Amino acid sequence: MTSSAGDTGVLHLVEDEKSLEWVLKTGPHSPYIALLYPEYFTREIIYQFRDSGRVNGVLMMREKGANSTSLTSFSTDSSCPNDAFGIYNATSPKRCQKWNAPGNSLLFENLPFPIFFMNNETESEKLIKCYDSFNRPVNGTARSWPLCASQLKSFMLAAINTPTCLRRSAVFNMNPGAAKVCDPLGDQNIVASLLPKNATQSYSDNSIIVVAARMDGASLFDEISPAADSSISGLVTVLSIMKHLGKVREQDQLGSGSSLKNVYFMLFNGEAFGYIGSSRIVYDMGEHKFPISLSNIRYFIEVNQAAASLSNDSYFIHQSELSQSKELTDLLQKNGQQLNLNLTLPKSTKLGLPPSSLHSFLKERADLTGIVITNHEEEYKNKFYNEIFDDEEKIGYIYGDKSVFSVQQNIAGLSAALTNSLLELLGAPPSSHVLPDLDTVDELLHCYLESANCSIFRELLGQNQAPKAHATYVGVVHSPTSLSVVTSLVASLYVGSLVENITVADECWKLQKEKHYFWMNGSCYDTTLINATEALSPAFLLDNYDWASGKYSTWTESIWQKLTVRIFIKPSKLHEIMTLSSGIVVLVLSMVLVRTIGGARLLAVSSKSDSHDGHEWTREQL
Amino acid sequence: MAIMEFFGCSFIAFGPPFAMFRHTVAHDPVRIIILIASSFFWLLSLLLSSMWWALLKPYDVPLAWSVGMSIVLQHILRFLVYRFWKRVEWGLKLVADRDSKTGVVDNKKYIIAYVSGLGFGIMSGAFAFINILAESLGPGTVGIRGAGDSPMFFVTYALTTLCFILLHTSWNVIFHAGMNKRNYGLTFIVIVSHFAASSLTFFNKDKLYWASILPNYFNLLVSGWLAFRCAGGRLYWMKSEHYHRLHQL
Repeated sequence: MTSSAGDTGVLHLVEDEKSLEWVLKTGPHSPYIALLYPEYFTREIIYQFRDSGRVNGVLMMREKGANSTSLTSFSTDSSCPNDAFGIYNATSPKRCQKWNAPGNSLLFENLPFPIFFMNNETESEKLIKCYDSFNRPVNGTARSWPLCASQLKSFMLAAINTPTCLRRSAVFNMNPGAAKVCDPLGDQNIVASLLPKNATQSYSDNSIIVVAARMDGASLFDEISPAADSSISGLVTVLSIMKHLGKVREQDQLGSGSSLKNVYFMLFNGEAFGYIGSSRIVYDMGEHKFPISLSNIRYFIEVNQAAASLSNDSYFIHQSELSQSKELTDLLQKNGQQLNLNLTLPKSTKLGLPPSSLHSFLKERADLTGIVITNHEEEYKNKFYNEIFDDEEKIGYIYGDKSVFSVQQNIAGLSAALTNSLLELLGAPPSSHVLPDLDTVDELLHCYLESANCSIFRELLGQNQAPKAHATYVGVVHSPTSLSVVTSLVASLYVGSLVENITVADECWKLQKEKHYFWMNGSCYDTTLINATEALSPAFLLDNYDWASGKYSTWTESIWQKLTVRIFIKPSKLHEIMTLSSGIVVLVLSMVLVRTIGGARLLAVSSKSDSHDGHEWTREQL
Repeated sequence: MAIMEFFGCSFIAFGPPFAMFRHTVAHDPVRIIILIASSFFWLLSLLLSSMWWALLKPYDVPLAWSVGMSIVLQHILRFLVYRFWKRVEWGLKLVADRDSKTGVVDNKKYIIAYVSGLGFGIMSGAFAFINILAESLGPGTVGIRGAGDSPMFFVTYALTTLCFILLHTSWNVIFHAGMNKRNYGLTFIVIVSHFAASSLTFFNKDKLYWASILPNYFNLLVSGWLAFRCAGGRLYWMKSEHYHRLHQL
């Protein structure tokens, strides 16, 4: 993506048509590094930068001004996310329905220059100050050297595409793994079963309910992917359902006699990049490497973008086409109504299924009854899908705000409505029904969106955490993200069963291998029912996988070197040439001078009367 | 390309000393030995100066104290160099006699002073300038803070370094002359000149580069001339009548 020496250019602030023209055509000091605010980070402008050949890098800053309400949308994902990995083939009109209308697909574009995001206000101010002092044109005329310049380094070792970089990585090297230039994307999925599986019995067809959400997000910039609406909202909803159901189970109120025997919770990772996690689980099911198989699933309930915060917000139930269940949707709507929550079906029948992990399951079993619950009917409500600004501010989340139409209230309400529906499906009595758990939802949202140093995480991990949110980007396989690690602990806490007779940590750890006991939150938990499965695309497991088939996700991440940005003053070419010439002149002149005045000459002085003992010199002989 | 700046400044600062080395020292192994050994003595003075500076650090004293002490230490070491070569002269002669080409100690008294001064100077220049040169390899130059910081910084620094290298050479010659003839006035002049040169560089802090370079080069001219005279040199067109007046220097 950049030369290994870094890309240097003169800073120029692109804030209007004129400054854009300057960078592209009229500025005399190219190449430039374009400094801009998010409004100008559009597909057209980036392409213009690329095509002009005069831009060596882009530095994007946070929105101008403290009241960041001017930016209405910012998404670099496709306008039809994951459309190539869904159930609709290329000719179907339902394939690309512009769910993510502001999406400009820059996330998937190969750009020949580095792009950095200045998250820190102080640093952005330094950039603007440097630009104003040295570079800002005066009355339309360019300033003279020296000018403020910047160097961006983000050298990536891999090139071209995945099959190429994998082939290059496989080159024989004495030091195994030293030639590696890329790694497949991946992490772990978290799968939890509500009830223990009977060892002898296997599940019959259509006897399991799956409740699913995704936990990963994405963005163009490393380490900043809050994914507040894109995934955390759904994740927190499902975690809250897990807590509700776990509690009901512990109270032995689940009941029996229903044809539905168990609930499996699935938290997928890597969904943003071609449904990595869900496609892998479906593949494992096909290979009989998963506790249940596709035919066991009666209902598949997925919670997608679930952040809602206005009084007239509703949730929408999107269904797969081939198998719809009025029974299920009626149940959900009824339970929603009891909690004053609006759950409706989309009006249009021409609407396809929105991008969701359900697609992976439908691809292998088209008649699966699946629903996806979202906060949008047609176009995404979330205008910042899978990018850096999809944060707590944009969803209107305020920690501790438990008012009627707050995000917490809506998510807690949705979770309770879903829980109650599940309880009914499992045959539990109406007395087992739950009320919205605002505190948990509020705290979980705080943990995932604002600070990992929150009470829940701290108690699980036993120590203080860094007070910032975990990044949701899936990362490379074999390197579990902090997010997935802590989420598996949360899942263990909610769905695991308390081992009451063990009250000492050491006793608990002794039984870890044998009985999957885990000490957290001051107690011992049996975590047999919670498992992590590898979320790696099957493309990397199959021999002779056809990379061009597009069946599975084939994303890899390049090995990268340290990413740096620096700004400095750049002197004019003339100055540098002058310095070099003066140096050469001085050198040559001195060589000539010393030679002629000469060693011998200069030092062949006082040929008379030097005696060996200097002390005998007389005054006249200086 | 900042590599141009790097080479330009290296040539400015080290060009003349290199030329002097090449034409007056390189051909004679004994002189090379003298040069290197004297450089080592300067390094000793740097070590002692830094120990002094480290001792003073917690007390927040102005830099001038450390600079002054460093100058004193350099001259102490210069004196030690002088004594050292005096002691060792006979040994050098032994070595030198074997090779008929060299005539380092025969009748060129101030060769040792000149060469050891050059060694002193080159080492002081190297330590002063190398890390600045390394920085100049990067893509930028000085000046981002505005407020008078000038991109001419590197060239200025190179000129000052050159000046000091040549000054050290001259001072050493004058110093040895003073010690040899018991004319301690000369020795005193060297110390004063060094203090003057270093003090002038304090102007650089306030970006008054010309105020430090021009007087220092003037200082260099005077010291150089004085060294030339002390070593017995005369401009060959001077008439002998003036000889007795001039020698009062």
